[in-house]
Amino acid sequence: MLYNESNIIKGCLAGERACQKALYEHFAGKMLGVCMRYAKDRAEAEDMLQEGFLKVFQGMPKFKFEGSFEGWVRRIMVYNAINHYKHRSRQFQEDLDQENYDTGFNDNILEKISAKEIVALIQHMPEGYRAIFNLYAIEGYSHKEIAEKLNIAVGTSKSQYSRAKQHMQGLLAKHYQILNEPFEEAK
Amino acid sequence: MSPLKKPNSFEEKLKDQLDGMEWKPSESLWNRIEQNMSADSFEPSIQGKLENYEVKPTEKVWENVEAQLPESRRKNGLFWFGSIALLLLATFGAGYWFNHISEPKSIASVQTNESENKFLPTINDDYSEVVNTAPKKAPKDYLLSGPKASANSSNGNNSNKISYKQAKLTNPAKSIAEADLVQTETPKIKNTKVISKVNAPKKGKVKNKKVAVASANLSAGSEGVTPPTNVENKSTAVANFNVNKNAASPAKPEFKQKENLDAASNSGPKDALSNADTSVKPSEPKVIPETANFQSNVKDTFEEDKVFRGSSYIAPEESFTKFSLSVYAGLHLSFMNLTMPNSSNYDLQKSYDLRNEMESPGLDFAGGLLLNYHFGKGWFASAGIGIVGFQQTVKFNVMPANQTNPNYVQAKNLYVNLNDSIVAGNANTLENKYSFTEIPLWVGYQFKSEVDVHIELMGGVSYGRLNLVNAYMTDPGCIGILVVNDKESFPQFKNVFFANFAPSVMFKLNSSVELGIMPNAKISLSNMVKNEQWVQQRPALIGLNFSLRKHF
Repeated sequence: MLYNESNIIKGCLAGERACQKALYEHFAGKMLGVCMRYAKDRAEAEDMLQEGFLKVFQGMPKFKFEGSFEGWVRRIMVYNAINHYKHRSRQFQEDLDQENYDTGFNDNILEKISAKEIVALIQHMPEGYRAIFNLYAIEGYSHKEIAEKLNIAVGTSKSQYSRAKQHMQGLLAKHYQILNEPFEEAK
Repeated sequence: MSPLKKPNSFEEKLKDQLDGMEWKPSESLWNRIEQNMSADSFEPSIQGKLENYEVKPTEKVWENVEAQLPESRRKNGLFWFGSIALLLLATFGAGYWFNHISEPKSIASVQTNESENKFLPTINDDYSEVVNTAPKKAPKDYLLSGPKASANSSNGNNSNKISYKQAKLTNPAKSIAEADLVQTETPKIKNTKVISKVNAPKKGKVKNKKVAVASANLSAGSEGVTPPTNVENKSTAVANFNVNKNAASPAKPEFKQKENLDAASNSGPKDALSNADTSVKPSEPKVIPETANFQSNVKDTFEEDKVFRGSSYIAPEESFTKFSLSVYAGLHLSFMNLTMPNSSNYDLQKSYDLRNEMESPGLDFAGGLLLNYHFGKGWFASAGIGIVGFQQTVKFNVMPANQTNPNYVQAKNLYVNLNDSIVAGNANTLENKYSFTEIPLWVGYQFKSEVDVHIELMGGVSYGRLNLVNAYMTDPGCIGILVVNDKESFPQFKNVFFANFAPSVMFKLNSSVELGIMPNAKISLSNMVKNEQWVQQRPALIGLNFSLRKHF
């Protein structure tokens, strides 16, 4: 089925399976990309995607027809991912990593690393860092919004993000360094 | 500084000393600033990098999602469509089966008017007295047998009520004269119910006590006689008719009777028969053998049946039960009558006027199933289940709403064209859809005719359960359009009662099936908007349905 957003949404509201499938196929790839950043691996990301789409279909009557529909779907996916994270009841402090990755990161590194590699590095972050890093650096939420979503203080969000960012930059730099190390032939 | 204050005071000296003073920043300050500046570009960079990142999920994800979704309405529709189709198939199949399995191959006529059949000899309908001379008890079973032992009858609990398939008696006098119904084989009777292997007359169709019996195969000769098997009932007797050949006028048949079938079977057909000539009183019911001029290959067609029935005593409809089943479907033009509420907290006049301009009737469909009960004399009642849809086209234009403030009665998220003035026009089109499950209770009258076409009038009420609402209506301020996706959404909708009128022309396709063309009109007797302060709605339609009715 060709994707005509208006018709697809109407069909989904009417409970038509073909439209639901069309909606899924249109957004599944992009939304799995979102879930991958919040999950520790692909299996968990697919679980998140599955839950997220169920919430999308169940919540479609609440769609306000304001703003982009994709943005609405994406927000549901992110909220669902955050819930996933919160249900694990992990404390940020457990994730604190005091390792200093300040190893000469610069913006040029980002240009030379693929999105897939970046997502893989994000998945390697401690969970607490990963959630805040995703929400602030990629989704663009403010610290106040993050604090509300994660039930933490605004200051905690700021400090956690600062560490998460440092951690991520360190990972990027290290990854880039490994990629560019001269290949030494076995003697 | 105040002009009254003296210049050259402390402040001036302090200022002179501090002006031009320099402080050397620490070495790390620039690094921190630089770090913050680069930090500003980190997030946008990584956002841009991941903006279009996609990963294809496995098939299992959709399978899991689909498994947890409720059944789609399409499947529900298919289920109902399938169910109705199955029901119709079963009904028509059963009707066909009953009509054909029980179709008799030989014919017996039922005489209801003695005066029209004066030539027929009569016999007392109390067969237990006439036929049976068995000593012990009057038999309830008897066998009227011709050469092929084919004209048998049954006598259940009521021996006076016997039904036979009618026969066409072309030359009664000759028939009777030629009829020499001698028992050539010993018929054997197994039980007290139906003996005939020829006729399986329908139950309860003949109420007269005067019966004429004929065998379709009573033509000359008795070859190919196939007697029934198994003699188990001693109370059964055999009636053997010797019809007086001279009896061109009303004749009194000789009534030969066998007392005991066992004896008959043991001693041979002819010996076994003990003749019991019986003079039958004219006033009593008669059993008349009809033999002559029966075609050996009588075609059991509707046409012949109809021709015969035309001169017989059984009305055609008496072949069926009082029930029939109709299926109908068709298209209609659906209207929505809008009225202002008696009182309202909203200023609805503007939006009411606009809605009347915007909404126009639309085509929709209806269909259903009716079970009809025929009272007789043309009257019948129908009840069943159906579905009826109402659709209106909503056309409008939008203009920037920079002068009038919106007057939302619901949350903004329930509106489309939120910031636009809605005006009449054709630029935008939406569709209002309402669907009802209908439970009709109708009464009808058939204007019977001699031909295969007749007219019927049907009318009555039906209960409409509102199933689907997908409607758009303007905000009281005519800015934005309120979207109503279900019957519980504002202003909330409720079920209604419809008044129906449907004259129809019915064409007889065969003896039991009729095709109908049914113009129909329907109007809601009640308002379908639950909120009494909102614009009130009453659906109505005019349309054309086609129906198929099967009698049983």
